[in-house]
Amino acid sequence: MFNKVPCCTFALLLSLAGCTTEWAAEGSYYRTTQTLLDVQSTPPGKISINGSHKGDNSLSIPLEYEREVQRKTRKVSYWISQPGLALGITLLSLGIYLPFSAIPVDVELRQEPQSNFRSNQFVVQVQADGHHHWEDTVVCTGQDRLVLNPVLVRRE
Amino acid sequence: MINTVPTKRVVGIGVLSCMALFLLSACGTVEHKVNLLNNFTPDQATGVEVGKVANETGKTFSPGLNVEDMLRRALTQKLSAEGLLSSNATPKKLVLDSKILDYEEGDAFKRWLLPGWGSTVLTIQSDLRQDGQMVGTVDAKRTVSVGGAYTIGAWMTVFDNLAGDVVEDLRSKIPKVEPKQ
Repeated sequence: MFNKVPCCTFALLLSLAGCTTEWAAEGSYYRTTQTLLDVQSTPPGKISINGSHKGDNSLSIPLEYEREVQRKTRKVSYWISQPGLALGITLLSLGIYLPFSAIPVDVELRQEPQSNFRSNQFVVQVQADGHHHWEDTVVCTGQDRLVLNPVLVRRE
Repeated sequence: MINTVPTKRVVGIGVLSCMALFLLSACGTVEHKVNLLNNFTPDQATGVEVGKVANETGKTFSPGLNVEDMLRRALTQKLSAEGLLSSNATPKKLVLDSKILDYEEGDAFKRWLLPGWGSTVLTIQSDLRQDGQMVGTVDAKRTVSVGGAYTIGAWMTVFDNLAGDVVEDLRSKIPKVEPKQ
């Protein structure tokens, strides 16, 4: 009889772990994201981003923009969100809590980054004496780092 | 007959413990973390200013319930209590811009009737900025999903508790100035 107790408990815990609801979308929001931009031009020049002077010769600067993040929630039992607490209450209540612990009482949150971005285009300009201006538009889409090595054309 | 008395007593103690736990405890989730970007280390005695607070829940609350203001007040109060609130005396300043991602008022009576029903939920995400540049992020969440009479007013206290979590995390990242002897 006593051999069956651990098996029954294990089976019960397994079944309790399945007491969750499906992930449900709860809307989205835009979260600030950064991409590190490295610019090293040949020859060295004044570097501007969106018309604002940021540095001379070489530059390493984080570009800030926003990325859409989808929020999803589901209801879970304490065995999933806080197993220690669930075990503690079960022991303290001498096992009486166990059947009730199947109730999905807690809310679990998942944040999923999407491929929608906001304010993620940056115009990079490099100016050097005796050379034509160099300009490019950088589009950030969640990269950690972007490297630009512009070569400026000498004026005739 | 002799064996049933202790068994009944054990079951009774179990039931009473369970009831006491449900009645008195406020069970829920507590999650919070501060992530400093690019190995940023705040200077000693850096102050924190509560910046913009936005409601990104997509919900409209009753006119008497200004969630942005409740979070702003709670953060200001906790920062002040911890000696972290920015002032003229603080040489460096971090600005904490926050978004309320989820807020559910919940209901203590519902929680008492059925755990999980009437949960109070508050989730926020904040950006930490220094001189306009983002230097870190904060994520924090609190739920009160089980409990009875003890959880009355959780719709309000959840802001204080969550602000306490955020400030605790900030305190751990900002070195304290030791008083001069």
